[in-house]
Amino acid sequence: MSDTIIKYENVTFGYSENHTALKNISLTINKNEKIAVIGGNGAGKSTLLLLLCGILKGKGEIEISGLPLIKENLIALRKKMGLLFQDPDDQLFCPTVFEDIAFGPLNLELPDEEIKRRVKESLLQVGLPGFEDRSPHHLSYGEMKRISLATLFAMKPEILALDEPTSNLDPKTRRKILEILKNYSGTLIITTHDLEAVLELSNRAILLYKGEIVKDGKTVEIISDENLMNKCDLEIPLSIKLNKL
Amino acid sequence: METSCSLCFYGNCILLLSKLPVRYFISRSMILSVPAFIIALSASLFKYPEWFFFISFKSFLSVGIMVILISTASFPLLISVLQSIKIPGLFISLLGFIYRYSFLLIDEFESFQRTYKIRAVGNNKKLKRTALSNITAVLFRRSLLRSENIYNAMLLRGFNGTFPYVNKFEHSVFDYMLLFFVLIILTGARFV
Repeated sequence: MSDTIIKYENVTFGYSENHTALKNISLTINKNEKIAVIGGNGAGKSTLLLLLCGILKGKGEIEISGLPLIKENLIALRKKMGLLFQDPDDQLFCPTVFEDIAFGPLNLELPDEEIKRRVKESLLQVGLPGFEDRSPHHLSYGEMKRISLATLFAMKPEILALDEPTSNLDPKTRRKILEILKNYSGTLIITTHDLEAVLELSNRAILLYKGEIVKDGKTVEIISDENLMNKCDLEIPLSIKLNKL
Repeated sequence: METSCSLCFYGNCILLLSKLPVRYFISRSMILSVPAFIIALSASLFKYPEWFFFISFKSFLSVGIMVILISTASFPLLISVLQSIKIPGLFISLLGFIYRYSFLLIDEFESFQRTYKIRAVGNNKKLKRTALSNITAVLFRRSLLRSENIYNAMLLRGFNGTFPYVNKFEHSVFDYMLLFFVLIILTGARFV
């Protein structure tokens, strides 16, 4: 039995006729694999995630757990995955943290006791127990980002897709987020410019440049290739630079 | 008249229990009652002069009770209570969105205002007006984009058009006793 959980086949997407964001993307992701999608600004990283969640619709085919990503399967497929938006203000739309985390499980029609349990568990998972009655707009950016992760954990998804999970965070909060993600056991897809984080979280990296996959392989090999990184508007991380010295 | 008197008595009792400063209560209630005063004035000018007193008094009392409620209970608690008395989920969710995003809109407006102050130097009033209208347009555009993102975030967490909720608020014996007390006052005022 195949371990493939996500499959993109010849996927092309453009925001307008003149601008193609993704060109002929084909890739497969295995169950419980941790992969990083890297690339400069406008490379198509976020578009790749939005297509996966069915928010955008392009040409070609996407399959998740063997089910094609079509309108009829959207609800079933969205139960299997969680998407973390770059801006937590987009993710947290309820007046309290409890309601925000409970929103997903409520839509799964779980019993009240189970929902309360999941809210508590998810808050514990992101290291913010007791935050149930806090209002999202009174939280710091780092706390909002962690609560956004908790909203996804409460759904118990098989796949986590994270758009820039470590952007705009102070080192301490960034470390906490990385630890949380390291402990996650399901399939993880992250898009980021934070190559140090990529080294810690994923074994496989997909390098995008101008909407095309330039390289798909081992994270260390891709990220250590200085010419390739420079060509794709990136820079090799400091830890690798220091190792080379 | 009797109902108004009982409402007045009931309002005073609640004001005393709330421990809010009287000046704070009156100033806020007066400001919020201005639209009702205008309507009462226009009604009294045209046909029924006695209506001015009744409309103003009743609206002042209603607004006053709202001021006490908002000043003494947190918004999340209000939401929980609305849920416990079975107010439709759609209404509660809309109220929650307005509360949540009003802060964000204010933040965005303030950041734009700062940008405007920094960049709109000099005395060219036409340019200043243009900059202000551009800021307003961008604010609307950002609101639209944010609403799209929020809707997408909702869809991704299984939103299907209904707004279910977990009932967290449980009425205490004191709540039922208070309700009983209020009903007795109102019923008494009706028949005395």
